[in-house]
Amino acid sequence: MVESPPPLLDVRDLRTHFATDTGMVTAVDGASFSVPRGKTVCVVGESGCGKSVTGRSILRIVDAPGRVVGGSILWDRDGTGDPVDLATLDPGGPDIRKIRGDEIAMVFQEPMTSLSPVHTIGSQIAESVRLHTDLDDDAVRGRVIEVLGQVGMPRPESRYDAYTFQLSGGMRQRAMIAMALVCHPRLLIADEPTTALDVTTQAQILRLMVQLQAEMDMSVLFITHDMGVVAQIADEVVVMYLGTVVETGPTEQIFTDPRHPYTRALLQAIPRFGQRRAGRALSIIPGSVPDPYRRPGGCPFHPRCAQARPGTCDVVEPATVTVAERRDVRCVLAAEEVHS
Amino acid sequence: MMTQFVIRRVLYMIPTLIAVSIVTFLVIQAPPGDYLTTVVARLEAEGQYVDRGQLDALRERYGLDESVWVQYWRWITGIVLHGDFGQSLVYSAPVSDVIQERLGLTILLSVTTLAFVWAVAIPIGMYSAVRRYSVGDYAATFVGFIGLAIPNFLIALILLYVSYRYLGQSVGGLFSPEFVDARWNLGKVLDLLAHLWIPVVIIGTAGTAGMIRVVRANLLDELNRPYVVTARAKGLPERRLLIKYPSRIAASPIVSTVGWLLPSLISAEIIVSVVLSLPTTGPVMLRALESQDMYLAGSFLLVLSVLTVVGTLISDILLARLDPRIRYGRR
Repeated sequence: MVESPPPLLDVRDLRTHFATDTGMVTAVDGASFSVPRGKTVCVVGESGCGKSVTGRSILRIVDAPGRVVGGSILWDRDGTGDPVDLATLDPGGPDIRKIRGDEIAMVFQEPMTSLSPVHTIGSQIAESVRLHTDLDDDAVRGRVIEVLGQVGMPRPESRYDAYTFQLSGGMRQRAMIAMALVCHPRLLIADEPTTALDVTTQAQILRLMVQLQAEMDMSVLFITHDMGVVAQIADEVVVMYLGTVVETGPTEQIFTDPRHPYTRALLQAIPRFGQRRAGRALSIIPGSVPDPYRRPGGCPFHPRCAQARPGTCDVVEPATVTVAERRDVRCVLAAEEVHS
Repeated sequence: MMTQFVIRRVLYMIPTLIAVSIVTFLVIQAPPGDYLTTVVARLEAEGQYVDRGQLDALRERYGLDESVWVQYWRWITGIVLHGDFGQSLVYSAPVSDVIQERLGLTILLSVTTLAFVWAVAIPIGMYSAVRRYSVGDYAATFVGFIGLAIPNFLIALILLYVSYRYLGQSVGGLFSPEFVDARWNLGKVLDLLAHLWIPVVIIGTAGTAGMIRVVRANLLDELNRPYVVTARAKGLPERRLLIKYPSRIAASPIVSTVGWLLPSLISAEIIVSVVLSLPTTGPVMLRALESQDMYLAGSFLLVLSVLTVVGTLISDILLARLDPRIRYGRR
């Protein structure tokens, strides 16, 4: 077996907690996954499962009172096998700031509110370049116009001086992507970048991201709740539920052979063409994500799981078992299959 | 774009100013009788001889027998073309002479106070927002509420007492006795500065306290906006981030207060000036109102209104500089 190179990003047992007045919210509670070089990894799950907080924890930009309280985030930029643990860095310190926007960049969900309304998009993108390079003003401007062109912004020279309110939703998101890519990051974290866009624009932005990823040879951590998007762009999938990773694996295997009951339920909840005429109702996952203040004991998914076994699932937290190469499942059922 | 905006905005000012002057004139005309009846009544009460010829000349000059509109026209053209604000009957002198020196000091006092309010309130408010619920925030909030709650004149009296009793400094007025009638020179300017801080602190306290709350609330609103997270994700240091993004956007509502802050400072100044006997417009305005000195009171009203309109103009221009959405806004 060929020794595979160390992953670009290796998240181990990440815990991010929010100490609020009404109690402790364990937004991310022991999540583990890794991002290989040059690949797209999709993090999926319902609202409130900790996907976004996971993405922000990596860059250490979790909003107060949230804090990374445990685990490690190993960042191995050059594949030397000597990674930096981002979880131990001071979130306000210079070390993490050097990585932000330069080695790891982020694209957010709502480009209208995620960009400043009172600065031109050019100046906002140029700021990244100025922070991370020593280029002079002309070179910075040239670099910004170049990247605006790369993301398919028409007439990039004149759009440099445009404000967000003068652009359409799709163009704003392109500007946002340009801002993330301007310093050639090794990893792009995209937090539901297409959710706020209409379907046509969504497709354009997805295509653009796939194309740019290939051109720039970077890894993408794509956070989404849309299994359709996952099918289109992911090499690997990380399924999250209530702050834990319940299943990871190559996309094809996740879609054809889901092992965790939650993954199966998610896949069954994808609407299919002709479903209604065939007399089949859209299947939904019963119940909803539990109150973050009152997490169920044992397996977090057991109250909604069709195959839950009383006495086991509501008592013991299941262990994560590796069922195949790069294929982990956190469920007692999978554990039994492996052992038998 | 900016020039166009300013020109448009200045043109809009003209009808506003005309309307303001009409209202002011109607207000000074509202008491029964006219200016001359008041003069005659006063002179006769003092047993003085009333010169018919002089009266007729005045009557002719202000068009007192004509309609209200003619009178308004004469009044306003007198002000605009000749700087003639009419006669003050309390001071028996032209209104412009009474106002002139005092108005300069009032504007100096108000502008200094405004600068004081901002210089103190903005850093404290920003600190309070960024370090919310810290000891410093609670301290600023506590001091702020006390500043809001204590009336100006009380602070004035306390400061008067403290500085007279313990500092041995006379705090009445803006000048030491030897400089009051002196010509302007360096000594007089320094003397003015030595006296100015007391009224500035007194008049500015309530404004500062209020402004701290406004700055804090506005900045808190902006601190957790997604664009702040975006800027942080770029690797921007926190301090630069704070100044460049949320503060810039939180500044808009504060800048828009310039318009009304100016007149409110001037009216706060009235009470304080009476207490501290400052040679500003405040006490004169009060006296004019008490004694129905129509032209004097009217001139004050007019000047205050014009200051408000000008203040609004300044704040609008600043807002447009700060926020492109206003600059490019639909007209």
